[in-house]
Amino acid sequence: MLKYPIFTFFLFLPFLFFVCLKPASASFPEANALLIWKATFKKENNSILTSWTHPKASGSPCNWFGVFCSIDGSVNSLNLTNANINATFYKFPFSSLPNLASIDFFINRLFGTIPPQIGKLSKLVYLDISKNQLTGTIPSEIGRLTSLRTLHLVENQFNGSIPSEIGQLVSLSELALYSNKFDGSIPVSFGNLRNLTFLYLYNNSLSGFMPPEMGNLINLVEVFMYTNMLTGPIPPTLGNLNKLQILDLFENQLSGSIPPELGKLKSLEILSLANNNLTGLIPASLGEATGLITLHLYANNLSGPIPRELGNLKSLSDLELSENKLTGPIPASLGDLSNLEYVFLRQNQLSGPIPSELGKLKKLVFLEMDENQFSGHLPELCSGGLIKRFTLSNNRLSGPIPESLKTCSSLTRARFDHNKFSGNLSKEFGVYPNLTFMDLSDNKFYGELSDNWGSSKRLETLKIAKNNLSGSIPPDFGNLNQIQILNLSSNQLCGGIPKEIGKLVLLLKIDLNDNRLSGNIPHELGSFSSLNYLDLSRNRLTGPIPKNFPNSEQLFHLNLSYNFLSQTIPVQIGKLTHLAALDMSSNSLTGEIPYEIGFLSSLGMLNLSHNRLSGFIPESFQKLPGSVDIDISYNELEGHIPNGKPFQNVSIEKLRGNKGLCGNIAGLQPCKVPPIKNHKIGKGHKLILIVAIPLIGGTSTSICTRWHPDHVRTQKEEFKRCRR
Amino acid sequence: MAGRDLFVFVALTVISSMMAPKARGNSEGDALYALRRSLSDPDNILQSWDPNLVNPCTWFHITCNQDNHVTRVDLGNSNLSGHLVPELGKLEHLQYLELYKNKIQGSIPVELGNLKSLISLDLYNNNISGTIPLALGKLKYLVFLRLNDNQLTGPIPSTLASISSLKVVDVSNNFLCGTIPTTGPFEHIPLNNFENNPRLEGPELQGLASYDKNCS
Repeated sequence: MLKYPIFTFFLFLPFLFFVCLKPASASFPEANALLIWKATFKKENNSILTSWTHPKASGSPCNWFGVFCSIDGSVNSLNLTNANINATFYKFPFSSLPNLASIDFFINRLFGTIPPQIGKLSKLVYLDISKNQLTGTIPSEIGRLTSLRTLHLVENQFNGSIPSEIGQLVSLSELALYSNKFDGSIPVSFGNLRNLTFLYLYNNSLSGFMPPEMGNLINLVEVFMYTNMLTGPIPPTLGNLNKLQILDLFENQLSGSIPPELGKLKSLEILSLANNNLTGLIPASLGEATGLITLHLYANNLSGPIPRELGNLKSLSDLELSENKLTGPIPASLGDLSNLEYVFLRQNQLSGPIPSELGKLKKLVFLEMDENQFSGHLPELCSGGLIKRFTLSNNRLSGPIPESLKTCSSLTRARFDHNKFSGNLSKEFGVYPNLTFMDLSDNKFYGELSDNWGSSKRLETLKIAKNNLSGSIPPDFGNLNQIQILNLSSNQLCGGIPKEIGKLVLLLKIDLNDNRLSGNIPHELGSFSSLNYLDLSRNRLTGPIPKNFPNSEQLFHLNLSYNFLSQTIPVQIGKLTHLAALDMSSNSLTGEIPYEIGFLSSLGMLNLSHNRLSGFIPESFQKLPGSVDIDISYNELEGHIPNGKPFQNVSIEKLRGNKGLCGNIAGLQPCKVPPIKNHKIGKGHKLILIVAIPLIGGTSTSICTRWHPDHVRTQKEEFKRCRR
Repeated sequence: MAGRDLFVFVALTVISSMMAPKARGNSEGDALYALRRSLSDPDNILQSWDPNLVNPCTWFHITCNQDNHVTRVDLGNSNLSGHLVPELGKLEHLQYLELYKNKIQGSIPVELGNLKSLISLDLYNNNISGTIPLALGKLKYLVFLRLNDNQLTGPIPSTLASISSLKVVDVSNNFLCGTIPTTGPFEHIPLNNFENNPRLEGPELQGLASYDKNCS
């Protein structure tokens, strides 16, 4: 028994010896070759390759990091993903690794070009050098790698044409060349790649036509060729690719019609032909591609109707046909697509009513159909309670808002503007806790603003301009603490501007013009520090302009015209250094024009006409930008027109109707005596004003009633009607 | 293999990015979105700048005209830092570019010379460096040019003197060199709008050779 093991040991000893020696003799040149390449690496902070040292007793590189060998000890795979290698391929041992089957150098800093010696790696099955900094063209010798199944060259800076020799890689199953600078055409020889399953050519500069030979690639599952410059038609032969799941040709310059043959693609799940120059009809046969989940045909020149056969695409969840010239109605059959989540039909010439069948779509999240010619009343559309974005603006829709939209609490962004919707606004809309944007402008809503709006606390933009709203602005609007744009202009709102509006510190734009708002401008409106735009014109506001108002250096537009504002222009107005347009015309403002107006260093337009301003035009007007358009007509100003650019080319229309202006302007009387220095309002002048104001005030009210009789009469009526 | 897993991941992100509903790119929105990506915005001033919207006209701090072209960008005093971008030059209808009182760095892109409708360029009170591009001389409707309180170097381009609409120029508190122009619109710009530029020399005397030393 004892003898037996010793005997077998001695029997096998020579074999052991032989086996130990053999790998060394096979790997020694391989290890050396790899070390020659490693020696060209630029010094980087990586300890990953410390294992790559001169082989010791065994001489085998097979234990090195990233190096894998087959049973016979020969290197068959190099996996150096994300190893921070900064080197070229010029000294790579293409000739010394005869059994190399797999190269994976994904994410490194390899640079330079691929040498033609790559063709020597005849056993290569897997080649991935993606996400490096390689440049130059793909050598035609790549065509020799006839065992290659996977070729990934993505996210480098390769340029030039794709060599037609790639068509010789008959084992190729995955070809990924995306995010490089390849140009020229897709080689016709691609038609030979019968085993090709995944084809990723996107984000390059490929041009020319898609080869019809691509119809031979019957194993194709995914084709991504988006963001290139491909022209010509979509080959109808693509209809033969019955395993195809994804065809993405987005953002090219493809022309001609959509081939009806694409309807044969029963496995197709994602079809994007968006952002091309396609014309003609949407083929009805697309309704046969019943696997479709996503259909993007937007931004083309498609015409004709939406085929009702699309109602057969039961798996469809994302339908985007916007920005075409589609006509006709929405087919009722689209209501059968119970998986629809995203429907984009915007910017077409679609017409007719919105079918009530769309109310069956319980999973709808985005519904955007603005800029069409839809008419009639809205059906129930938010029955699933999931709609977030709902855009129907710029159509011819009329009637009331249906109940499901009143309670559609999922809404985040809604646009109904520029239609003919009618109904009592306070009954049509509810509370929307997630709503940030709502535009109802340019419709025929009547009734009052309900307190509800104040509960939609996430509102950032609220526009209900150009309707027939009445009643007053609820103080609850002060709860809209996220609001930045508020436009209620061109309605018949009455009552005062609630002081609670002053709490809305994020407001950028307030537009309340063309209503019947009365009372004073609340001094709380002076607290806005970010306000850009304020228009309260064409109302019945009375009282003074508040002293600290407005307080925002960023204000570029202030319009208070056509009101009944009285007393003086606050001197703080001079702080508005970015004001481009200032209009306070057609009010009852008195006193002198403040010297501080001259500080408005960005002013492009100044209209103080039709007021009761008196005294001299401040000399500081000389400091205003020379191109400013000034109108001070119909006041009680006197004295000489200041020198300087602002008045150089002013016409008499902008000056007439005053008390005694004089100067060197056509139509104006010349000044009789040397010009009196127009002083700043100092203490002395203030005294005169204090005495003068009651006198002027007394006379001006009587003049006001003579000049604005209609406004005063109707103003009294409105006080009766305005409930709050 | 790790490489393959990463590859699949990338492919899936491609598919999911396709799901984001898009429209044909609006070039003005894209230009402004490029600006947003280049700026650091701790107060979320640019949160409404959503590139998925059809145009930027509902974005805050943006004003459009009736044809949905951007006419104003109002971002003064918004705590922004980062850089301006060349894409801004694509806003052909822009009249007011208000970026004053921020912490913007880097240089003024020469592409701003393409803003052919520009009336007001307010970049004052930032950390902008580099030179004032000669291309700004192409802005034939410019009225307001306020670049004061930055770190601008180099000369005041003579091309600015050809803009007859220019009314307000302020380049004070910079590091400009060369001479102060005196022709055209510069006849009426007060001298203190040039002050605190240690290497900027007094108004040029017409007809004499300029005495720029090392100023380019």
